[in-house]
Amino acid sequence: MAFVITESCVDVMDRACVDQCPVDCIYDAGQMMVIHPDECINCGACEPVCPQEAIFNESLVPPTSTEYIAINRNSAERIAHQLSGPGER
Amino acid sequence: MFAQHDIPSQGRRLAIVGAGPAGCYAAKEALQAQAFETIDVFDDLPVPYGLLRYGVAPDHPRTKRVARVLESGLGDPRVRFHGNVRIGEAVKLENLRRAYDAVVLATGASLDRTLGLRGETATGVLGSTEFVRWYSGHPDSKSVDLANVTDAVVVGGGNVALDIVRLICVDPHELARTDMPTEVLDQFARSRVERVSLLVRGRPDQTRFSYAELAELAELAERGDIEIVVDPSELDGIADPDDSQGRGVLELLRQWTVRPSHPVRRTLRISFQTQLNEISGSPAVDEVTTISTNTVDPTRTVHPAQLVVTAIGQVVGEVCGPPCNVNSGRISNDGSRVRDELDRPVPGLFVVGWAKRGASGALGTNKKCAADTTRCVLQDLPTLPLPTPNAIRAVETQLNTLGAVDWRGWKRIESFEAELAAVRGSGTKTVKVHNRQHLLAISNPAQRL
Repeated sequence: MAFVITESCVDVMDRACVDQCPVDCIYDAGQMMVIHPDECINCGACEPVCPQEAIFNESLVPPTSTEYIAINRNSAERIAHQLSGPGER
Repeated sequence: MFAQHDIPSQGRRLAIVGAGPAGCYAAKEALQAQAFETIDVFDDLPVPYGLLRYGVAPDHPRTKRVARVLESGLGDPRVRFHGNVRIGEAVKLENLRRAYDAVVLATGASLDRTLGLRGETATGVLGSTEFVRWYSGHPDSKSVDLANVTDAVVVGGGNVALDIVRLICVDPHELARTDMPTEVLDQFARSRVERVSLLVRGRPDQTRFSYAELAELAELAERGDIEIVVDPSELDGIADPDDSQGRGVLELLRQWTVRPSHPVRRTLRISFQTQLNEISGSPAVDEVTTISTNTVDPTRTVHPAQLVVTAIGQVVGEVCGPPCNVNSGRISNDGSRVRDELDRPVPGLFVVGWAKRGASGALGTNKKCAADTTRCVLQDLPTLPLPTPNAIRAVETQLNTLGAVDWRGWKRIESFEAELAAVRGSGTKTVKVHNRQHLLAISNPAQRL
């Protein structure tokens, strides 16, 4: 399980969550922030600080936003891969 | 970040007392600021990481991965770790302050709040810190005997209470996959616990349970390790809270009001609006009386209990010396700067983590907290008196004679614990060493203890 950022972050990107994340697993995906589900340790520090209330525990994502589970994973994996550079990890 | 061009880092010395998450994040922030030539981190224990090692539940290895992040601060070659050094005893706080430009206290809040009941001192009645330290293999913990316990009572409405309940309830084979010391595993294997009662003072919509923690109990129930019982009347008239976590928690609790019929090893009963009123038995606890306040007439109930664990919060206990004092469970401060008994700011003395904020918040909260404290340190730095060469020499000499555990010593312990895990062979990457003398001996193979 991980935490997931949903649509209310789009174009807002307050980033308060980034300051809280102890493992730096929240990435800038351009239009919104995303959480890398394999790096997230599920501590929940990000959830209460989001002024948009955009962050949910994966199993509590509202039914209308469940596509964001995949959006977080795909975007975060892509960005983390780019940051680590080709050929690494 | 912030511009540091006006502060030369040359000769600037920072001491951080406490190598838990808050202290490690403070070290990371100080490194990033590039304002110090020396960053020294002290800890009472021979090993770093504080509550990450001795608080985060052993069956939460995912959370323990934060160690990698903390290591990037504490393990940096510009930082020195001094384990097994008790500031306030081995080195006086005033001497430390003279030897450093600034001192940051990251000493946590490890004194258990008590209920104030007379029977609380009986054998078998423990605060959450005592119990958690025991199952985490803390070197100063006392062994807990579960072989004679059939009825356990846990008091508390937060995640620490849920950790304790889960570890008492889980199949001990699962625990073999954790970093628990072998002595502790053996105790859980000998456990004869049949009934666990979780007493929560507030209503079901007022708990501080996180959904994820409660969902782990649901998994134990699904696997057949436990049956969870919540009286349906407890949820009568309780409306869904506004937040998703709270709604998730209530959803789980509602599932448990329906009794499954298959036989299980252990039963967990969760009672809300219920307080512990009396603890009886001498020298060991054998009975408790609870009071439920969810009805017009409060109901008293007597339960057998051979183990009582209270998880009702922690406060700062001892401080490492004057001019610190405790106020509302934390070291008096105005949001990073320590204040003395007369509420005057103490130049060059700062605080971070639970010692500053009180015992609440997620692990990640420390990162922001450390950034705030470091900002104050950097603001004050130009005005602070410089440490004197004599004071520096005095502390350095003391450290040399104390047999402190340095980073290399910790790395030796870490390798040893990895070897123990290979011997256990259950998939865990590390098995903790429980005993302080043993830890010290491993850290310094040249010295026979």
